[in-house]
Amino acid sequence: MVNSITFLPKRMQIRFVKPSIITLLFACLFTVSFAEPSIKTSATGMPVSEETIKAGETLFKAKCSACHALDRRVTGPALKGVTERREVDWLIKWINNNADLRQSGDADAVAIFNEYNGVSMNLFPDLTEEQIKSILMYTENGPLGEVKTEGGPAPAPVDEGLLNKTNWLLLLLSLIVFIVVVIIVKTLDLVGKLTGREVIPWNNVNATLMLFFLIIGMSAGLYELSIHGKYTLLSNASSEHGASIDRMMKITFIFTGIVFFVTQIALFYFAFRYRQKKGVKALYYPENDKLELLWTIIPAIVLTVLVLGGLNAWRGINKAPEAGTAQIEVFAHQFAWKVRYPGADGKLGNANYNLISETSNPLGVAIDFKAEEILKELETDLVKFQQAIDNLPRDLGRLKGTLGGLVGKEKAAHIKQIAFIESGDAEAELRLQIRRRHTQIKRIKTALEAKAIFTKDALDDIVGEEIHIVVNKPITFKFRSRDVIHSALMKEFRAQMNVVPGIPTQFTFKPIKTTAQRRAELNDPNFDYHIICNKICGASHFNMKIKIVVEDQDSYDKWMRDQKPTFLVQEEAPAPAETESTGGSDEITEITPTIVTK
Amino acid sequence: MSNDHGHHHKQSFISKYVFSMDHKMISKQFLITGIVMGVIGVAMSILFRLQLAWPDTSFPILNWLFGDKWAPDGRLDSGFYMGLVTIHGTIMVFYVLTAGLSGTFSNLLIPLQVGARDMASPFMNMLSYWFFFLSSVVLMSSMFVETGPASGGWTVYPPLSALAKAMPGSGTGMTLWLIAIILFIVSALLGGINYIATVLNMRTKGMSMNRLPLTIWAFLLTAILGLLSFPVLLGGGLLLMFDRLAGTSFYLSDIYLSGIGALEQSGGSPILYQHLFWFLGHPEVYIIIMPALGITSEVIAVNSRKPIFGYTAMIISLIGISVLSFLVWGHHMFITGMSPLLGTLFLIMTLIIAVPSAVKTFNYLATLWRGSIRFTNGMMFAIGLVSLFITGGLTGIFLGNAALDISLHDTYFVVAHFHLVMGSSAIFGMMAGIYHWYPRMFGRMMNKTLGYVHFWLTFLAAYMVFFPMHFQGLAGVPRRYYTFDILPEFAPWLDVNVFITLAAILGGIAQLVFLYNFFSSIFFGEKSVQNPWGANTLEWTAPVEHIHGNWPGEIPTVYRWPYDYSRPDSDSDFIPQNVPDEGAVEEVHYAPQTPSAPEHEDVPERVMFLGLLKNWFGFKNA
Repeated sequence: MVNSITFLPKRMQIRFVKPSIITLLFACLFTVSFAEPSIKTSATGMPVSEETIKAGETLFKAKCSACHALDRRVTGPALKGVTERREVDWLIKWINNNADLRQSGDADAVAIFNEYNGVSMNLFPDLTEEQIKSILMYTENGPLGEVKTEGGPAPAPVDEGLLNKTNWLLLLLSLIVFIVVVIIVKTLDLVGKLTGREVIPWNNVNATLMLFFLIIGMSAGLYELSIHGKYTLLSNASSEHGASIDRMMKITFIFTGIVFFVTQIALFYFAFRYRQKKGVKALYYPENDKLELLWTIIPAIVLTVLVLGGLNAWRGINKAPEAGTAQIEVFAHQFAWKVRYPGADGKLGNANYNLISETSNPLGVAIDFKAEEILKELETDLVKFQQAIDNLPRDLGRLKGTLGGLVGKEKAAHIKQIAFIESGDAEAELRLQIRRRHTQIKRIKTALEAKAIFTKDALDDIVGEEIHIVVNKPITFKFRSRDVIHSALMKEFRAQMNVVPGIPTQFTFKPIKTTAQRRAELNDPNFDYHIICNKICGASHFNMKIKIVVEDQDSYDKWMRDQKPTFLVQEEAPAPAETESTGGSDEITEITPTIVTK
Repeated sequence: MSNDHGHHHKQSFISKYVFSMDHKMISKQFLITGIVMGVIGVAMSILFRLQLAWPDTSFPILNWLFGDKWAPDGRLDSGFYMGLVTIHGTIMVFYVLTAGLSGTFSNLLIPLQVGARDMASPFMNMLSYWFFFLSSVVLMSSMFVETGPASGGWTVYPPLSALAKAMPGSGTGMTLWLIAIILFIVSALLGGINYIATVLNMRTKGMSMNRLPLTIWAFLLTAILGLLSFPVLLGGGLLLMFDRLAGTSFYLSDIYLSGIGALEQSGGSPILYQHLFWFLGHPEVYIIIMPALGITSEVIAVNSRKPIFGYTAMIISLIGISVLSFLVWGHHMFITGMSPLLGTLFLIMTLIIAVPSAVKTFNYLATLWRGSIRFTNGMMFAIGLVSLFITGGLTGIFLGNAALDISLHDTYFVVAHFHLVMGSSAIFGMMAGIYHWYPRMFGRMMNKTLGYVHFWLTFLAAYMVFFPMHFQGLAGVPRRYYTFDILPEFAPWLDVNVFITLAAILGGIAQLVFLYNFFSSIFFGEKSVQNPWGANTLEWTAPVEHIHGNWPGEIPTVYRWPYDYSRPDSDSDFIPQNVPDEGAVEEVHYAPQTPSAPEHEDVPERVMFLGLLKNWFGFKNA
């Protein structure tokens, strides 16, 4: 799982930290250049330790790296040294729930919101204070591995001035080349005009170049095939149906390859062979019905073969999954994936977007006591929004009051905010929010009365951030999107399906190679299967993935035993990791409305 | 223009160069606007390719161009990167290859090749250009709004494009994008109606449909495709506009947006938009490529000194492509969760469309066979088109096959496919047309040696840029990614991206040669003779100097089809269409300087734009 500290009770975390201090001391004493955090004191107030930084790094990679990097702006700002720019307490509030902070009228929060064009950061209410501090400590120190290699050959620093000069030189050089070309061409033309004949027999030159182009182009293409061919996904699919796609791909390659070579060679050869020559007149040959019929029928036959093959593969892939096929839900939102397992009952509970709460029910799973909670949250929101509306004049006064002392970006943000309030847009937006909340409350209440979607199936569902599936067992991925269209590309499985808000989609396949097998095949111990997003979904689209672990039944079962139903709290919790928690919903009768959020 | 003078009417600068209703001037306006947009679009692609090749390098030029907001420290912002990709696509597809290509050559060639004085409605023609111009301005203005240009890809799929808070580019930039496209559609419809009316009604005596040059057939069918498909996008775009601005939910349902909460909208379908979009979007591909194929047919025939092989088959193929192009849009949507049965139908239709395309290719090859090939600049680009069309077309057979599309959808394989088959091909067709008809447009020749340099560099660059992308796509590298750090498997492609970017820069430099050649030849090019290529079509019988009404005297009568090249029964290797069967080949020359007045009714009397407006709104001229 993403981090080890998360699941441990607090007292264990403290125990965790203590030995780490000792380790650190040892490290300081004996191996000064080894794994030494670059700073000794942290703004977070926590003792600096390797473990904390490592934990922070893991968390950072899981939660933040979709939108942030340490040393450069991605979708969000660069986070290196963020604790120098902002108070740690403020950062914790911001990371937990930046929307709340903004609505409370915090000027900095509003300014950031404006700077990033009104696109808000995801909320991370599930992160504890310690976790956030560990992330912050990571941003203070940077990855530890880099410190380790400090003694080794460091990457040469890029000399910006030199780069700049090189750019201008390149520009100058291309300009000179261009001028030289123009001058040569003009001279040739002039000489040609004066002597009355062409200096260069262009027609022959170009005809020959056509032939050269063909030969060089074909060789270059084959050369590239020899280098990059090994990366292409044309064989060794990791899913059962993948073989049919690979086969079809190869058949298509053979047919199109033949056509490619024949037509390209004919084209360039004809261009060379039939260049204009003195005294040779072109053949008047306007049509030949038989020939035309021939090259209509042959492509038609070839394409029929391909159509039939394609249809066969397509039907095989799309055939309805057998009854009893395992199902998991893959949930997409900007910019992360989540997975939901049906739990012991084997049934995924219902879910609805109206029941989503970023703070307590990120997937909107239909559980009645959660729904009640969300209703409460929404009611609080309503009050907050109303307060925000009432406070607008006060905010305006405060913004105007502090405007004088500001400069630069901050001032611009303030001015924008003032305009936003004065134009009435701020109020309109809040009223729209209130209306939305009312609609949502009404919908939830109706659903609660109807009861239809609140089944017991959901109670033992497990929400996770890593997909585990069993090798050689068909599995149906049921896709659901929270916001925009995403696409789940699983290239190794030759599988892909769009994830569309409002329209359930699914893809059934049978993995035939475990992660370990595929690693051995590729001779790459770090290889992992992934789903990556393949339909543009926003500015961090390029950074949205989830790991898939394919394993045999035993290790899957072992892994599954460690997972706990997300929405249930058993009496004996907090349970140590070894305790078996089968999580069968029928056995658990003591459903306490307390929630454990991971 | 008024007839009282009986002689050449002196036009004001505005009515001659700006609000002109002369199809030849409008075609130049379309071409030059298209070239300007093309330069912007290509430049954008080079700039965002810098990011792909050197993701961690700082380029001061980016910061200089886009400022601290969009390129802090000389590195593109990831959202703005998508904005550049989106606007690049929009510009190249609509503004360069639809308006720039169709607009230029339909306008120039339809009246001249069918033997008409002007378009059926010169006024509508002028409006068509000015809507296009306005649309270009609106689109470019979206680059300067605070939240940046539309960034959801040129297909602007909702909900991403419908929700202003989903990404910065979905703010004002997206609204401007929609306005620009709506204006563009108005322009395309005004133009299209005109082209169809002109071809059907205003052909000169003897110009039966089976004597039309293939260019005209291509333009006619293109215009019909546009007329039938653009309104669907107009509808789709308007509904998206309503979703954005009026709170409707045509495309929205079940959405919870981070920082906003659950939205009220329900019951809409994002997939509906995709159907509407691709109902235009796929014919659009043929709207782009068919004029290029038409131009190629003409240029190849003229410069092989041979009749185009299988004239009738070529027309039937064009018609086949046109009809089928309306039945294949679903192949863009195989993996949207659309019913597999529907996928089956679209698979079949899509692969069928390869047959007429194959016929066209083979016919080009047969035309070259035993020809007497002159490597004019236009001819070389036409040959280049055939090569690129083959390469790009063949990969379409992979993508049209639904099962293979599961793996290839939205990977670089798709990028390679369409950039070759409709991007580069159509650009090559456009270049072939520009080099071939430049003498007809500007009365001067372009420098052919520079043209050779331009061709070889461009041809080389086109393959160097797009060929390696096939391999990337086959390895599952997704398109529209800002960096490829996401999976370690993508690491080997960084070198390839560097190679591609360098090739793209080479291609960009090659276009500078073209730009220099194009603009300097307008003023300093060698004066053209009347029929520099020895072509048969009617446009070469009109005087070099442009005049209203195209021909000073009567419009020539047509006696034959346009492809009588190298007839064995004739000494000359070409027989223009206006030569009677028994008549000797006789070239008609007009002194270029002779000012002449058209004597006919087709050209409207008033060309003053304001005057017309006044008339329209009931204000009589004092």
